Amino acid sequence: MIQFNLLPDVKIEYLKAQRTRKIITVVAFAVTAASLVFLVLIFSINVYKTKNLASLTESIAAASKKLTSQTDLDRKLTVQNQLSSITQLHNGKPDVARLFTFLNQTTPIDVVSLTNFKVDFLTTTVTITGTSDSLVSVNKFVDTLKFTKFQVETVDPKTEKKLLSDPAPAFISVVLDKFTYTTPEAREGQQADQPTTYIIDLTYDPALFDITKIVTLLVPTTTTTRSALPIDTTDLFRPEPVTNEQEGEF
Amino acid sequence: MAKSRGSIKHLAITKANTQVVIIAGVAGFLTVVFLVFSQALISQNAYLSKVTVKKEVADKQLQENLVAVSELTKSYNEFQNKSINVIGGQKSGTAQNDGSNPKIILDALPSSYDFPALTSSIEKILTTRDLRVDSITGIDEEITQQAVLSSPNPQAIPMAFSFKISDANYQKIQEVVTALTKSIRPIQVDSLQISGGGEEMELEVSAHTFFQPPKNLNIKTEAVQP
Repeated sequence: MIQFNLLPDVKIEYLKAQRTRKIITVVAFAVTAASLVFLVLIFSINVYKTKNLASLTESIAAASKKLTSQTDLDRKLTVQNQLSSITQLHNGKPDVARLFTFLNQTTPIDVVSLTNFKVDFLTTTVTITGTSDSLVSVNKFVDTLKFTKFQVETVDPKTEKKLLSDPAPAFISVVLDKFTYTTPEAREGQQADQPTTYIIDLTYDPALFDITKIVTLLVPTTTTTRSALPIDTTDLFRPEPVTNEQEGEF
Repeated sequence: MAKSRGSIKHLAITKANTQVVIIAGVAGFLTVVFLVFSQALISQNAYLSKVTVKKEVADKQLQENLVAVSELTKSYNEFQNKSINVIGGQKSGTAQNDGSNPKIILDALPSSYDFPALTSSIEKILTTRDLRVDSITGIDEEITQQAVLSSPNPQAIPMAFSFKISDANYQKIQEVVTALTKSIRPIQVDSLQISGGGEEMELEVSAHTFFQPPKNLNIKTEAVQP
Protein backbone atom coordinates (compact mmCIF):
# COMPACT_ATOMS: atom_id res chain seq x y z
CA MET A 1 0.00 0.00 0.00
CA ILE A 2 1.33 3.37 -0.93
CA GLN A 3 1.63 5.95 1.92
CA PHE A 4 1.75 9.64 1.28
CA ASN A 5 3.38 12.06 3.56
CA LEU A 6 1.04 14.95 3.40
CA LEU A 7 3.04 17.07 5.91
CA PRO A 8 4.87 19.87 4.30
CA ASP A 9 8.70 19.95 4.62
CA VAL A 10 8.62 22.97 6.85
CA LYS A 11 6.30 21.19 9.26
CA ILE A 12 8.65 18.21 9.36
CA GLU A 13 11.58 20.47 9.92
CA TYR A 14 9.67 22.27 12.65
CA LEU A 15 8.81 19.04 14.44
CA LYS A 16 12.41 17.86 14.14
CA ALA A 17 13.66 21.14 15.62
CA GLN A 18 11.18 20.86 18.47
CA ARG A 19 12.28 17.28 19.19
CA THR A 20 15.97 18.20 19.04
CA ARG A 21 15.35 21.09 21.42
CA LYS A 22 13.59 18.78 23.86
CA ILE A 23 16.37 16.21 23.73
CA ILE A 24 19.10 18.80 24.10
CA THR A 25 17.20 20.45 26.96
CA VAL A 26 16.78 17.14 28.78
CA VAL A 27 20.38 16.09 28.20
CA ALA A 28 21.74 19.52 29.13
CA PHE A 29 19.64 19.60 32.25
CA ALA A 30 20.69 16.08 33.19
CA VAL A 31 24.39 16.77 32.68
CA THR A 32 24.23 20.09 34.53
CA ALA A 33 22.22 18.54 37.34
CA ALA A 34 24.63 15.61 37.59
CA SER A 35 27.66 17.90 37.77
CA LEU A 36 25.85 20.06 40.32
CA VAL A 37 25.02 17.01 42.42
CA PHE A 38 28.63 15.91 42.15
CA LEU A 39 29.78 19.35 43.22
CA VAL A 40 27.37 19.38 46.15
CA LEU A 41 28.51 15.90 47.14
CA ILE A 42 32.17 16.85 47.08
CA PHE A 43 31.38 20.06 48.93
CA SER A 44 29.48 18.08 51.58
CA ILE A 45 32.44 15.74 52.04
CA ASN A 46 34.67 18.77 52.28
CA VAL A 47 32.49 20.33 54.94
CA TYR A 48 32.39 17.05 56.88
CA LYS A 49 36.16 16.69 56.71
CA THR A 50 36.72 20.27 57.77
CA LYS A 51 34.44 19.76 60.75
CA ASN A 52 36.17 16.49 61.59
CA LEU A 53 39.52 18.21 61.33
CA ALA A 54 38.37 21.01 63.59
CA SER A 55 37.22 18.43 66.10
CA LEU A 56 40.57 16.63 65.92
CA THR A 57 42.45 19.91 66.31
CA GLU A 58 40.38 20.69 69.37
CA SER A 59 41.01 17.22 70.82
CA ILE A 60 44.75 17.50 70.16
CA ALA A 61 44.91 20.94 71.74
CA ALA A 62 43.02 19.71 74.81
CA ALA A 63 45.20 16.61 75.19
CA SER A 64 48.38 18.65 74.68
CA LYS A 65 47.27 21.14 77.30
CA LYS A 66 46.43 18.33 79.69
CA LEU A 67 49.82 16.72 79.14
CA THR A 68 51.83 19.90 79.51
CA SER A 69 49.93 20.88 82.62
CA GLN A 70 51.01 17.69 84.43
CA THR A 71 53.11 18.60 87.41
CA ASP A 72 56.70 17.34 87.43
CA LEU A 73 56.13 15.34 84.27
CA ASP A 74 59.69 15.88 83.05
CA ARG A 75 61.07 14.73 86.40
CA LYS A 76 58.88 11.62 86.31
CA LEU A 77 59.96 10.87 82.75
CA THR A 78 63.59 11.44 83.70
CA VAL A 79 63.43 9.13 86.71
CA GLN A 80 61.67 6.49 84.61
CA ASN A 81 64.31 6.79 81.90
CA GLN A 82 67.21 6.70 84.36
CA LEU A 83 65.68 3.61 85.97
CA SER A 84 65.50 1.79 82.67
CA SER A 85 69.09 2.74 81.81
CA ILE A 86 70.64 2.08 85.19
CA THR A 87 70.03 -1.67 85.18
CA GLN A 88 71.55 -1.91 81.74
CA LEU A 89 74.58 0.12 82.83
CA HIS A 90 75.08 -1.96 85.96
CA ASN A 91 74.79 -5.15 83.91
CA GLY A 92 77.40 -3.83 81.49
CA LYS A 93 80.11 -3.30 84.09
CA PRO A 94 82.63 -5.99 84.97
CA ASP A 95 82.33 -7.58 88.40
CA VAL A 96 85.80 -6.49 89.46
CA ALA A 97 85.44 -7.88 92.98
CA ARG A 98 85.68 -11.42 91.55
CA LEU A 99 89.29 -10.68 90.80
CA PHE A 100 90.38 -11.40 94.36
CA THR A 101 88.59 -14.75 94.44
CA PHE A 102 90.20 -15.71 91.14
CA LEU A 103 93.63 -14.62 92.37
CA ASN A 104 93.31 -16.66 95.54
CA GLN A 105 92.17 -19.68 93.56
CA THR A 106 94.89 -19.63 90.91
CA THR A 107 98.01 -18.37 92.67
CA PRO A 108 100.10 -21.13 94.30
CA ILE A 109 100.58 -20.61 98.02
CA ASP A 110 103.96 -19.50 99.40
CA VAL A 111 106.04 -20.31 96.34
CA VAL A 112 104.67 -17.57 94.08
CA SER A 113 104.08 -13.94 95.00
CA LEU A 114 102.69 -11.05 93.02
CA THR A 115 104.42 -7.69 92.97
CA ASN A 116 102.30 -6.03 90.34
CA PHE A 117 98.97 -7.05 88.91
CA LYS A 118 97.42 -5.12 86.09
CA VAL A 119 94.11 -5.92 84.45
CA ASP A 120 92.62 -4.09 81.51
CA PHE A 121 88.89 -4.76 81.32
CA LEU A 122 88.58 -3.07 77.95
CA THR A 123 91.06 -5.36 76.19
CA THR A 124 90.49 -8.30 78.62
CA THR A 125 94.21 -8.60 79.23
CA VAL A 126 96.15 -9.17 82.43
CA THR A 127 99.80 -8.62 83.20
CA ILE A 128 101.12 -10.36 86.31
CA THR A 129 104.52 -9.49 87.66
CA GLY A 130 105.94 -11.28 90.66
CA THR A 131 108.58 -13.34 92.32
CA SER A 132 108.90 -17.03 92.94
CA ASP A 133 111.13 -19.54 94.67
CA SER A 134 112.04 -21.16 91.38
CA LEU A 135 111.37 -21.24 87.70
CA VAL A 136 109.59 -24.53 88.26
CA SER A 137 107.03 -22.77 90.44
CA VAL A 138 106.58 -20.07 87.82
CA ASN A 139 106.09 -22.77 85.24
CA LYS A 140 103.49 -24.44 87.46
CA PHE A 141 101.75 -21.13 87.98
CA VAL A 142 101.62 -20.56 84.22
CA ASP A 143 100.33 -24.08 83.67
CA THR A 144 97.71 -23.67 86.38
CA LEU A 145 96.46 -20.58 84.58
CA LYS A 146 96.53 -22.35 81.24
CA PHE A 147 94.53 -25.31 82.42
CA THR A 148 92.06 -23.38 84.51
CA LYS A 149 88.56 -23.63 83.14
CA PHE A 150 85.31 -22.03 84.11
CA GLN A 151 81.65 -22.90 84.13
CA VAL A 152 78.69 -20.58 83.96
CA GLU A 153 75.80 -21.39 86.25
CA THR A 154 72.29 -20.87 84.98
CA VAL A 155 68.89 -21.76 86.31
CA ASP A 156 66.42 -23.66 84.17
CA PRO A 157 63.29 -21.46 84.18
CA LYS A 158 61.01 -24.51 83.97
CA THR A 159 62.51 -26.88 86.50
CA GLU A 160 64.38 -24.19 88.46
CA LYS A 161 67.35 -26.54 88.56
CA LYS A 162 70.88 -25.20 88.45
CA LEU A 163 72.60 -25.91 85.16
CA LEU A 164 76.30 -25.68 84.50
CA SER A 165 77.75 -24.91 81.11
CA ASP A 166 80.50 -27.03 79.61
CA PRO A 167 83.91 -26.13 81.04
CA ALA A 168 85.76 -23.63 78.86
CA PRO A 169 89.29 -22.26 79.18
CA ALA A 170 89.26 -19.26 81.53
CA PHE A 171 92.40 -17.73 80.08
CA ILE A 172 92.64 -17.78 76.33
CA SER A 173 96.35 -17.09 76.01
CA VAL A 174 98.86 -17.31 78.81
CA VAL A 175 102.39 -16.22 77.94
CA LEU A 176 105.38 -16.15 80.24
CA ASP A 177 106.59 -12.89 78.84
CA LYS A 178 109.79 -12.56 80.86
CA PHE A 179 111.59 -14.25 83.72
CA THR A 180 114.78 -13.65 85.64
CA TYR A 181 116.66 -16.09 87.79
CA THR A 182 119.24 -14.67 90.16
CA THR A 183 122.09 -16.99 91.11
CA PRO A 184 122.80 -17.55 94.83
CA GLU A 185 126.02 -15.51 94.50
CA ALA A 186 124.12 -12.48 93.29
CA ARG A 187 121.30 -12.64 95.80
CA GLU A 188 122.82 -10.28 98.32
CA GLY A 189 120.19 -7.84 99.47
CA GLN A 190 117.45 -9.76 97.72
CA GLN A 191 114.80 -12.10 99.05
CA ALA A 192 116.64 -15.36 99.42
CA ASP A 193 113.51 -17.48 99.20
CA GLN A 194 112.18 -15.99 95.98
CA PRO A 195 115.06 -15.34 93.62
CA THR A 196 113.02 -15.65 90.45
CA THR A 197 111.03 -12.83 88.92
CA TYR A 198 108.53 -13.25 86.15
CA ILE A 199 106.05 -11.41 83.96
CA ILE A 200 103.01 -13.27 82.68
CA ASP A 201 100.65 -11.86 80.06
CA LEU A 202 97.27 -13.41 79.55
CA THR A 203 93.93 -12.79 77.97
CA TYR A 204 90.87 -13.86 79.86
CA ASP A 205 87.41 -14.86 78.71
CA PRO A 206 85.13 -11.81 79.15
CA ALA A 207 82.49 -14.07 80.74
CA LEU A 208 84.71 -14.37 83.83
CA PHE A 209 83.81 -10.86 84.95
CA ASP A 210 80.32 -10.72 83.44
CA ILE A 211 78.22 -9.45 86.32
CA THR A 212 75.08 -11.08 84.92
CA LYS A 213 76.63 -14.56 85.10
CA ILE A 214 77.54 -16.79 88.00
CA VAL A 215 80.99 -18.11 87.21
CA THR A 216 82.88 -20.93 88.87
CA LEU A 217 86.58 -21.46 88.23
CA LEU A 218 87.80 -25.01 87.81
CA VAL A 219 91.42 -24.80 88.90
CA PRO A 220 93.41 -28.00 88.33
CA THR A 221 93.88 -29.76 91.66
CA THR A 222 96.95 -31.68 90.55
CA THR A 223 99.82 -29.56 89.42
CA THR A 224 100.10 -29.84 85.72
CA THR A 225 103.27 -28.88 83.98
CA ARG A 226 104.12 -28.31 80.40
CA SER A 227 106.01 -31.58 80.44
CA ALA A 228 102.67 -33.31 80.66
CA LEU A 229 101.75 -31.91 77.28
CA PRO A 230 102.27 -34.04 74.19
CA ILE A 231 104.20 -31.25 72.50
CA ASP A 232 107.85 -30.28 72.42
CA THR A 233 108.38 -27.66 75.13
CA THR A 234 112.12 -27.38 75.00
CA ASP A 235 111.87 -23.79 73.79
CA LEU A 236 109.94 -22.62 76.85
CA PHE A 237 113.03 -21.25 78.59
CA ARG A 238 115.74 -19.64 76.61
CA PRO A 239 118.80 -18.95 78.79
CA GLU A 240 120.85 -15.94 77.93
CA PRO A 241 124.56 -15.62 78.44
CA VAL A 242 124.44 -13.56 81.62
CA THR A 243 127.17 -13.96 84.22
CA ASN A 244 125.13 -13.71 87.40
CA GLU A 245 121.61 -13.68 86.07
CA GLN A 246 119.77 -15.94 83.74
CA GLU A 247 117.08 -14.23 81.78
CA GLY A 248 114.59 -15.39 79.26
CA GLU A 249 112.09 -13.64 77.08
CA PHE A 250 109.35 -14.81 74.80
CA MET B 1 -1.26 33.47 3.55
CA ALA B 2 0.58 30.19 2.92
CA LYS B 3 3.84 32.10 2.72
CA SER B 4 3.22 33.81 6.03
CA ARG B 5 2.34 30.45 7.66
CA GLY B 6 5.59 29.06 6.26
CA SER B 7 7.51 32.00 7.65
CA ILE B 8 6.04 31.47 11.09
CA LYS B 9 7.18 27.87 11.00
CA HIS B 10 10.63 28.95 9.85
CA LEU B 11 10.79 31.46 12.64
CA ALA B 12 9.77 28.80 15.14
CA ILE B 13 12.47 26.49 13.77
CA THR B 14 15.06 29.21 14.02
CA LYS B 15 13.90 30.02 17.52
CA ALA B 16 14.12 26.37 18.51
CA ASN B 17 17.62 26.06 17.08
CA THR B 18 18.65 29.23 18.88
CA GLN B 19 17.22 27.86 22.11
CA VAL B 20 19.16 24.63 21.56
CA VAL B 21 22.36 26.59 21.17
CA ILE B 22 21.62 28.72 24.25
CA ILE B 23 20.61 25.73 26.37
CA ALA B 24 23.65 23.72 25.27
CA GLY B 25 25.89 26.71 25.85
CA VAL B 26 24.54 27.49 29.30
CA ALA B 27 24.54 23.82 30.27
CA GLY B 28 28.07 23.41 28.99
CA PHE B 29 29.24 26.50 30.82
CA LEU B 30 27.58 25.44 34.05
CA THR B 31 28.94 21.91 33.76
CA VAL B 32 32.45 23.19 33.19
CA VAL B 33 32.15 25.58 36.13
CA PHE B 34 30.81 22.82 38.39
CA LEU B 35 33.53 20.43 37.30
CA VAL B 36 36.24 23.02 37.86
CA PHE B 37 34.89 23.71 41.34
CA SER B 38 34.60 19.98 41.95
CA GLN B 39 38.20 19.45 40.93
CA ALA B 40 39.35 22.18 43.29
CA LEU B 41 37.30 20.64 46.07
CA ILE B 42 38.69 17.17 45.29
CA SER B 43 42.23 18.53 45.62
CA GLN B 44 41.30 20.21 48.85
CA ASN B 45 39.68 16.99 50.07
CA ALA B 46 42.82 15.03 49.30
CA TYR B 47 44.87 17.47 51.37
CA LEU B 48 42.29 17.42 54.15
CA SER B 49 42.49 13.62 54.13
CA LYS B 50 46.27 13.74 54.54
CA VAL B 51 45.98 16.23 57.38
CA THR B 52 43.20 14.19 58.97
CA VAL B 53 45.30 11.02 58.89
CA LYS B 54 48.22 12.84 60.52
CA LYS B 55 45.98 14.45 63.10
CA GLU B 56 44.28 11.16 63.89
CA VAL B 57 47.70 9.59 64.50
CA ALA B 58 48.71 12.54 66.68
CA ASP B 59 45.43 12.44 68.59
CA LYS B 60 45.71 8.68 69.13
CA GLN B 61 49.28 9.11 70.35
CA LEU B 62 48.25 11.90 72.70
CA GLN B 63 45.38 9.85 74.11
CA GLU B 64 47.78 6.92 74.65
CA ASN B 65 50.24 9.32 76.26
CA LEU B 66 47.55 10.59 78.61
CA VAL B 67 46.83 7.04 79.72
CA ALA B 68 50.56 6.35 80.04
CA VAL B 69 51.10 9.55 82.03
CA SER B 70 48.30 8.57 84.35
CA GLU B 71 49.91 5.17 84.93
CA LEU B 72 53.35 6.76 85.22
CA THR B 73 52.13 9.22 87.84
CA LYS B 74 50.53 6.40 89.81
CA SER B 75 53.69 4.27 89.65
CA TYR B 76 55.92 7.25 90.42
CA ASN B 77 53.90 8.16 93.49
CA GLU B 78 54.02 4.57 94.72
CA PHE B 79 57.76 4.45 94.04
CA GLN B 80 58.33 7.78 95.76
CA ASN B 81 56.22 7.05 98.80
CA LYS B 82 57.82 3.72 99.72
CA SER B 83 59.08 4.03 103.29
CA ILE B 84 62.09 1.79 102.59
CA ASN B 85 64.02 2.82 99.52
CA VAL B 86 65.62 0.59 96.88
CA ILE B 87 68.92 0.40 98.75
CA GLY B 88 67.31 -0.39 102.08
CA GLY B 89 67.42 3.09 103.59
CA GLN B 90 64.62 5.17 105.07
CA LYS B 91 62.66 7.46 102.79
CA SER B 92 62.82 10.43 105.13
CA GLY B 93 66.06 9.73 106.99
CA THR B 94 69.36 11.54 106.74
CA ALA B 95 71.78 8.61 106.84
CA GLN B 96 73.98 7.65 103.90
CA ASN B 97 71.46 5.24 102.38
CA ASP B 98 68.40 7.34 103.17
CA GLY B 99 66.30 9.35 100.75
CA SER B 100 63.33 8.88 98.50
CA ASN B 101 63.62 6.44 95.64
CA PRO B 102 63.63 9.11 92.88
CA LYS B 103 66.47 10.87 94.72
CA ILE B 104 68.42 7.61 94.96
CA ILE B 105 67.93 7.00 91.23
CA LEU B 106 69.04 10.51 90.32
CA ASP B 107 72.06 10.14 92.61
CA ALA B 108 72.94 6.87 90.89
CA LEU B 109 72.50 8.25 87.40
CA PRO B 110 72.46 12.05 87.60
CA SER B 111 70.64 14.02 84.98
CA SER B 112 73.32 16.69 84.84
CA TYR B 113 77.06 16.66 84.44
CA ASP B 114 78.70 17.30 87.79
CA PHE B 115 82.33 16.24 87.85
CA PRO B 116 83.16 17.81 91.23
CA ALA B 117 80.29 15.83 92.79
CA LEU B 118 81.69 12.64 91.26
CA THR B 119 85.18 13.25 92.63
CA SER B 120 83.66 14.00 96.04
CA SER B 121 81.80 10.68 95.93
CA ILE B 122 84.98 8.80 95.01
CA GLU B 123 86.94 10.61 97.70
CA LYS B 124 84.25 9.68 100.22
CA ILE B 125 84.47 6.00 99.25
CA LEU B 126 88.25 6.11 99.75
CA THR B 127 88.59 8.28 102.83
CA THR B 128 85.91 6.48 104.83
CA ARG B 129 88.24 3.47 104.66
CA ASP B 130 91.18 5.47 106.03
CA LEU B 131 93.11 5.17 102.82
CA ARG B 132 95.79 7.52 101.65
CA VAL B 133 94.53 9.06 98.43
CA ASP B 134 97.43 10.01 96.18
CA SER B 135 95.29 11.36 93.39
CA ILE B 136 91.85 11.55 91.92
CA THR B 137 92.03 12.75 88.37
CA GLY B 138 89.82 13.34 85.41
CA ILE B 139 88.90 16.03 82.96
CA ASP B 140 86.07 18.29 83.96
CA GLU B 141 84.05 18.73 80.77
CA GLU B 142 81.48 21.01 82.32
CA ILE B 143 81.46 23.47 79.42
CA THR B 144 81.21 20.79 76.73
CA GLN B 145 78.55 18.83 78.57
CA GLN B 146 76.46 21.91 79.32
CA ALA B 147 75.51 21.83 75.66
CA VAL B 148 73.85 18.44 76.19
CA LEU B 149 70.30 19.49 76.84
CA SER B 150 67.24 17.48 77.72
CA SER B 151 65.74 15.47 74.91
CA PRO B 152 62.90 13.01 74.33
CA ASN B 153 65.40 10.13 74.08
CA PRO B 154 68.55 10.88 76.09
CA GLN B 155 71.47 8.44 76.25
CA ALA B 156 73.94 7.81 79.07
CA ILE B 157 77.17 9.77 78.66
CA PRO B 158 80.39 8.43 80.25
CA MET B 159 82.46 10.45 82.71
CA ALA B 160 86.01 9.12 82.98
CA PHE B 161 88.09 9.37 86.12
CA SER B 162 91.01 7.66 87.77
CA PHE B 163 92.45 7.47 91.24
CA LYS B 164 95.47 6.15 93.05
CA ILE B 165 95.76 5.10 96.66
CA SER B 166 98.82 4.02 98.59
CA ASP B 167 99.81 2.68 102.00
CA ALA B 168 96.99 0.19 101.88
CA ASN B 169 96.90 -3.50 102.62
CA TYR B 170 95.34 -6.25 100.54
CA GLN B 171 92.13 -6.26 102.58
CA LYS B 172 91.61 -2.52 102.19
CA ILE B 173 92.19 -2.80 98.46
CA GLN B 174 89.57 -5.53 98.28
CA GLU B 175 87.17 -3.34 100.23
CA VAL B 176 87.67 -0.41 97.84
CA VAL B 177 87.19 -2.52 94.74
CA THR B 178 84.10 -4.17 96.24
CA ALA B 179 82.73 -0.73 97.17
CA LEU B 180 83.17 0.41 93.58
CA THR B 181 81.36 -2.68 92.32
CA LYS B 182 78.50 -2.28 94.78
CA SER B 183 78.12 1.47 94.36
CA ILE B 184 74.65 2.60 93.29
CA ARG B 185 76.39 4.59 90.58
CA PRO B 186 77.25 2.26 87.71
CA ILE B 187 81.05 2.47 87.84
CA GLN B 188 82.75 0.57 85.04
CA VAL B 189 86.37 -0.12 85.86
CA ASP B 190 88.45 0.14 82.69
CA SER B 191 91.76 -0.89 84.19
CA LEU B 192 93.13 -1.70 87.59
CA GLN B 193 96.66 -2.07 88.89
CA ILE B 194 97.69 -3.45 92.26
CA SER B 195 101.30 -3.25 93.31
CA GLY B 196 103.52 -3.48 96.37
CA GLY B 197 102.99 -5.67 99.36
CA GLY B 198 102.16 -5.78 103.04
CA GLU B 199 100.90 -2.45 104.35
CA GLU B 200 102.41 -0.51 101.48
CA MET B 201 100.29 -1.61 98.62
CA GLU B 202 99.14 0.73 95.88
CA LEU B 203 96.00 0.64 93.82
CA GLU B 204 95.47 2.54 90.59
CA VAL B 205 92.06 2.48 88.98
CA SER B 206 90.86 3.98 85.71
CA ALA B 207 87.11 3.90 85.43
CA HIS B 208 84.10 5.71 84.13
CA THR B 209 80.63 6.31 85.36
CA PHE B 210 77.72 7.99 83.65
CA PHE B 211 75.24 10.79 83.64
CA GLN B 212 72.13 10.86 81.50
CA PRO B 213 70.49 14.15 80.47
CA PRO B 214 66.89 14.63 81.53
CA LYS B 215 64.06 13.32 79.45
CA ASN B 216 61.31 15.73 78.50
CA LEU B 217 57.95 15.70 76.84
CA ASN B 218 58.36 16.91 73.31
CA ILE B 219 55.16 18.04 71.63
CA LYS B 220 56.12 19.19 68.17
CA THR B 221 54.16 20.56 65.26
CA GLU B 222 54.58 19.26 61.77
CA ALA B 223 53.57 20.91 58.48
CA VAL B 224 51.71 18.63 56.09
CA GLN B 225 52.71 19.35 52.54
CA PRO B 226 49.82 19.47 50.01
